[in-house]
Amino acid sequence: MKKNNAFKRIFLSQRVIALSTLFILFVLFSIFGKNFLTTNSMISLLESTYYIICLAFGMTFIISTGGIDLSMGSVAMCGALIGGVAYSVWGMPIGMSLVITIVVCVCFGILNGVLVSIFKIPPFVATMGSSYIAQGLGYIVSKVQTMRYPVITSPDGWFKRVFYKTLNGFPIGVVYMILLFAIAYFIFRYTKIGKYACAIGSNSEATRLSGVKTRKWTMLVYTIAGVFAGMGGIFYSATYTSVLPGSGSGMEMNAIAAVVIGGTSLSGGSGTMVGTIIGVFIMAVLRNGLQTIGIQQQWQVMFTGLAVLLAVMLDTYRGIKEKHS
Amino acid sequence: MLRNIHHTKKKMRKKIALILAIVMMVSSFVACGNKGSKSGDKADGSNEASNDEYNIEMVGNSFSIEYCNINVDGARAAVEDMKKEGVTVNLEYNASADSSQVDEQINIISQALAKQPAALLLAAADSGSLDEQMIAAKNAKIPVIAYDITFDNPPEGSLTATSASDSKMAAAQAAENLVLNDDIVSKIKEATAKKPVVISVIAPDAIMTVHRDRTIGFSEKMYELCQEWQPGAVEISGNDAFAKAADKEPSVIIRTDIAASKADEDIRNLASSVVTDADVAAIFVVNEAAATGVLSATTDGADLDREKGKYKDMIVIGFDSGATTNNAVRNRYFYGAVAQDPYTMGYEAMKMAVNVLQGGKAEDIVIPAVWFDADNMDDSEISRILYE
Repeated sequence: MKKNNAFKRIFLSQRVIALSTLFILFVLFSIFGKNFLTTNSMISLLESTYYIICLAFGMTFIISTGGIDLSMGSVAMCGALIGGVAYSVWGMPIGMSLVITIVVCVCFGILNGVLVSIFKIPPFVATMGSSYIAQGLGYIVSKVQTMRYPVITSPDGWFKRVFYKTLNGFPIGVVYMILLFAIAYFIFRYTKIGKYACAIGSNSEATRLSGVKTRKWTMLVYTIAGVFAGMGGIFYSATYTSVLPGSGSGMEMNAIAAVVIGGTSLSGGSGTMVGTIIGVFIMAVLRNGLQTIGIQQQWQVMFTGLAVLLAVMLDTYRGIKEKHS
Repeated sequence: MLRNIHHTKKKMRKKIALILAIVMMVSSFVACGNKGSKSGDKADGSNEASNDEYNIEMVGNSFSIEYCNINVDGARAAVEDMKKEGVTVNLEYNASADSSQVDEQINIISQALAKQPAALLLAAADSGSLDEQMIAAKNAKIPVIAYDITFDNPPEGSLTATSASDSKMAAAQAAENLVLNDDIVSKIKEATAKKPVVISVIAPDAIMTVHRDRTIGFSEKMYELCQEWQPGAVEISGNDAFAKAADKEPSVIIRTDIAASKADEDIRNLASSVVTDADVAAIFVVNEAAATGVLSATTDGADLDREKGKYKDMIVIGFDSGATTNNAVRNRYFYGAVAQDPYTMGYEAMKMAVNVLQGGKAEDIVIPAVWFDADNMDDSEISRILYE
């Protein structure tokens, strides 16, 4: 009976619902969409997920602590922008500019961690502040100029051939996404960081009283999120070539939406990397699929909103049920 | 135990109902979206239906801006006109939320190309970041017609033709019309290094190609024109990207004032600081948002009233028509404005696409921009292209 209940719990989890939804959407668009199920369309769909996947992995860590990061998009773009300045203005090699992208984002991760764990500023406010700082820093360093990374065919375009797609069109970024997923999954599931993140999200005070240095682990979680934001910045510049000053604000909303749709509770205490990646793909399939059936962008925005609302309603419903059981 | 089973069944029913709700919602949209959209498909996936029937994708850069929707109206009108000549075009339009959403637009273009359309009409949000999509279109032998926004350096052979105004030339028209005003010319002539005259260019950003081009077009033309009265004493200051030093201490300063962000309040704050600057004699606003900022900072334009306004001597010039700018021009709060013709851009782009598909010659089409003010805006030639 216990086994049976466990099976049902898994079957009825939001992750399974999300996966079923993804499958149904995929089948529907494959049948009704114009050239949805073609190689080009699938490659385009995958490519549109690269940077969001990175941000969403980082966001899963943060949300599982009961926190939120409203700066992630701006930070990723600030890193990419400063990396772009390092390459095209300061004349640094492209490899160094990618390192700078990561370093900038990690610094913001540490800043967020310090604000939340040491200064005890609510994550919503702390990260909103750092979002503005990241945008402002990007404006200042770039002198409000769009930064352009080298195109794939140029000699310095090697980073695109390494991170984005090969010259024969293979979407090499997918390999990195699988790798990043494996790393994020492992850290979240099998290391202290993931376990303590959920413990902090579940009950911070009880976790602290049980001897866990919650400040240290919270800071580490935000720093890890900074690393993922940096990866997001690199994949963004590899995929889209141009980085605009002031852009990025709002990207984290897509990451949050994906995390929530995937089944991570906004109130913290639990999280799922598998769910997160499903969430990212639900949004990507919706975005690309609706276009293939001739529905314009404005409807897609509304649809994403509906999907998030449904996921949150389900999360709330589950929370109430758990409380009563 | 029975209670447990009953409870689980109930839970399961609720979740199945939820999945069904999602499926029904998507299905209804699928049904709506498919109305008439499949007519041109061929078994091989290509969308070129027959010699006289084409599936053409049109990708804009802002679905919420009236101007962009008028581009589409123009293209649709061309489709209707060509129908009378026996040519059927299935037009599908999509656009990013606004022109700063470069990544969103790239995804839309990639998806549009995946549909293997006969041709692609494109108003790029940032033409510099579309090299890979342009090469993909070229390799797939999909002609790309740029409309509204010109490409600076497209990959060789990837851009078939362009149907647009030249933003720099259009903005230069504003400068040429400004120096037809005797008052401003007197102020320029009388300006000294100690008491310089400032001509401000207000832009919401220095990032978007169109805003940059308009800023450059106006400020450089003004720089050139002012040399006649103040040789060597004219400078372009403000944003570093546009700066040009004077040979000596400047008497005329063309200042590029860029808002901190595109948020309405930032543009308004900037406009407010510009209009209260006693040295500023004229303002060129590069778009509707900047025009709105200036009007908001001048009590809906009342402070610019030519007879009793607080800033009655200040000359403001707009760019592009629209309800806000049109009203300001009609009330003479604005000295005038330069208007582009988005309808003709869309119309000609579509005609050119079909012309190319039918083996015709690809040619760039320059759609002229026009100067309008309170005296000529009701002339049929002008009012035809003004939109609200």
